[in-house]
Amino acid sequence: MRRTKQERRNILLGLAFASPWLVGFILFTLYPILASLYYSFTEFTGLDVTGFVGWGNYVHMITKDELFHKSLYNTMYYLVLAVPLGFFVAMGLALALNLKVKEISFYRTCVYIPNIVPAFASSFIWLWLLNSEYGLVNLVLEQIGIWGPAWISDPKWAKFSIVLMAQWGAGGSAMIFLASLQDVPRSLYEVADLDGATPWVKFRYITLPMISPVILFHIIMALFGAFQVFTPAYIMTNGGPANSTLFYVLYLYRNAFNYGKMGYASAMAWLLFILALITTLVVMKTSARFVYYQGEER
Amino acid sequence: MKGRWTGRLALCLAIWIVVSLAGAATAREKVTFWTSHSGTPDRQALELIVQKFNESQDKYEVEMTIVPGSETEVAKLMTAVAAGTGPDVYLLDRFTTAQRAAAGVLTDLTPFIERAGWRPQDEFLEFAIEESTWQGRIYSLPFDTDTRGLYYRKADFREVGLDPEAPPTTIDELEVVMAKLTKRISERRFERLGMIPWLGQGWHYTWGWAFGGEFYDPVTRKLTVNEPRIVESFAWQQKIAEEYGIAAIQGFASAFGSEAQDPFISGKISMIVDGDWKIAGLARFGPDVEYGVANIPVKAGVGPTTWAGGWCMAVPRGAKNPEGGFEFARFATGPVGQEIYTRDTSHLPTLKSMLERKDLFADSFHEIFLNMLPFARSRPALPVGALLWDELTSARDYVINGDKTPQQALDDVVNRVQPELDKMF
Repeated sequence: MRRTKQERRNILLGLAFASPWLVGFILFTLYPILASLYYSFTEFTGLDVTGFVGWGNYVHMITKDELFHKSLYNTMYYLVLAVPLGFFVAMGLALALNLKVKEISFYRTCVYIPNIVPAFASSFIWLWLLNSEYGLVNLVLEQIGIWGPAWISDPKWAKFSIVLMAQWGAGGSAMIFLASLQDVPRSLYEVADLDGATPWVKFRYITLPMISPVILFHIIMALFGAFQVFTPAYIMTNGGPANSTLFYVLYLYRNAFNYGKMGYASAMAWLLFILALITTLVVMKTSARFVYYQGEER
Repeated sequence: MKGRWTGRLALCLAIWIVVSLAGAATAREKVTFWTSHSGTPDRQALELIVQKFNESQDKYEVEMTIVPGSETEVAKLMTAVAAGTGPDVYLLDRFTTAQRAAAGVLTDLTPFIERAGWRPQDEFLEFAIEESTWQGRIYSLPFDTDTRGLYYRKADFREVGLDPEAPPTTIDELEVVMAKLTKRISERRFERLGMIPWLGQGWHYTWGWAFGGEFYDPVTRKLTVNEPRIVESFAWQQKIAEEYGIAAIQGFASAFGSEAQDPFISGKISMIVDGDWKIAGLARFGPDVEYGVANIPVKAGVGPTTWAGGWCMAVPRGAKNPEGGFEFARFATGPVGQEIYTRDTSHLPTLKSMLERKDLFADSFHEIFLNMLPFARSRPALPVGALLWDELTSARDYVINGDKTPQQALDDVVNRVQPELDKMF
């Protein structure tokens, strides 16, 4: 296909205008990604490549590294609990914030405020809320006769504590759900009312299908966030006690920066990428039947 | 009009040229110094050393920058060195010298030392220079050091009828004293615990050595962390955890804070193994606490033991001014630098010539720690030091939580770390 002179000129101009982004993308995103793929097949201290090991890093990780399995288990535990729980909490909040109450905008602000607090600061707040002796959480539990666990200092509860903590940020997703709830055409509910539909039926057959694309978006973003969980464990527990909060990315970080095993860390990063990719594809494929895009033939 | 402006411009230009020429004539070579010590009084002491160095000669000018990092976490240094923007001299945790040297992050200082016709082995304490050495080459110069001892609250001892001048010296005595000092509110709540062995500086190394264990055999280059005596030290900690209830201890300990909320200062525990730096914290946040310091209790038959850590000055690879970095490192770790640091931060010096300088300490406790130096141990100088530390810490956690037997946990450490070590030789 031959392009006219004018067309070629336009393409060049277009590329020139996009070049700040293009250069940035190639230098700071594409190159590091490809370089990490190469390093994942080497022994790399971060400064020198000391040997090419082929699939060695991957084989070692899967067959020999007990901590790799433990960290993967920890992250999957977090993902399996935090993603559904996060969905129900955010949806519950969104439905509540959709009520017609006079001071609703005040509540909406309140629900969103935790999202403004940096993860670093909120981790410290939770450190005290979950304190087993003086923490507010155990104090409240004690009032209703429950002896609370030691939360983050107990290996059996530490992971779950971080799952609970993550709900602190549910306000952000709740706002997105709320916006989509308000986009559902009122006429659909009016028709349903005429037919005598119950609130549950309306929710199940009108609301859910209408907001399903937003739910899909939320789930995919939440999965990504869960695969990358790092900050609370890094700040609050440093992976402890007894490695119960050693999440995948935290272990990856330690290999890269504390143990000088950048090649191994790169291999871990690629394995995580592949896992996230497969998970996303599975979600996309299986969700096709449940997600309804407006204007789509069914 | 026009002529006047040109004249002024020319004058300005002339002044600028003269000033910059004069500046160039006296300009000294820049030396960049990075440290992660951001707290009081360490930072101020380092600033004073930099100032004294800059006053002492006219060739170099050191600029100090605080960077993020900690003992085993040097991500900032690693990335900067990889990018070729690292400093000329860096304050590094000494026991990681071998690891960083093996990873190629540090400049070999041996040629600089030979050129200066100098023998650091004669001046520094043996264990310190050993920690600074990797495969016979010196990669850093030892700066400060510290030792660990048993702190105990005399009033608590008196309260339960123990002699406050006779702290426990053996593990068996320690167990009896711990039980006597412990006060319970209920079955699973404590008002006061005699001691939590793994708190403070009660690390795997501390108790391993207190039971007479050895962590590494330099002849065979094998880790020996799963040898019977270290297994025994882990088993002892497991026994304490079971006796007092690990959940109850963890619950009690989760309320511990620092400064005035420090459990030893606030009287929540009566004894703790900790380093000499705790003296400064006690003076500041618990001036009324009446306490004593003694050697760490050991298993019957084992000689007195403690271990020493500390920091060092290293020249990272790719330094723009390695000569300047080395000069500053030598000054800071020399008599002038170490005197300032010892006096202002009350850490211990690593220069043999300063061991008798008791005038540098305002308190009487430091002498106890200073007297421990002759028998102080140091962590084996291994290129996998940070990994071994983290693995031992995990093993200790597994054991006190009852997830693994001591033998199993320590065997696992060997199986994970030995292959990494074998790669380095």
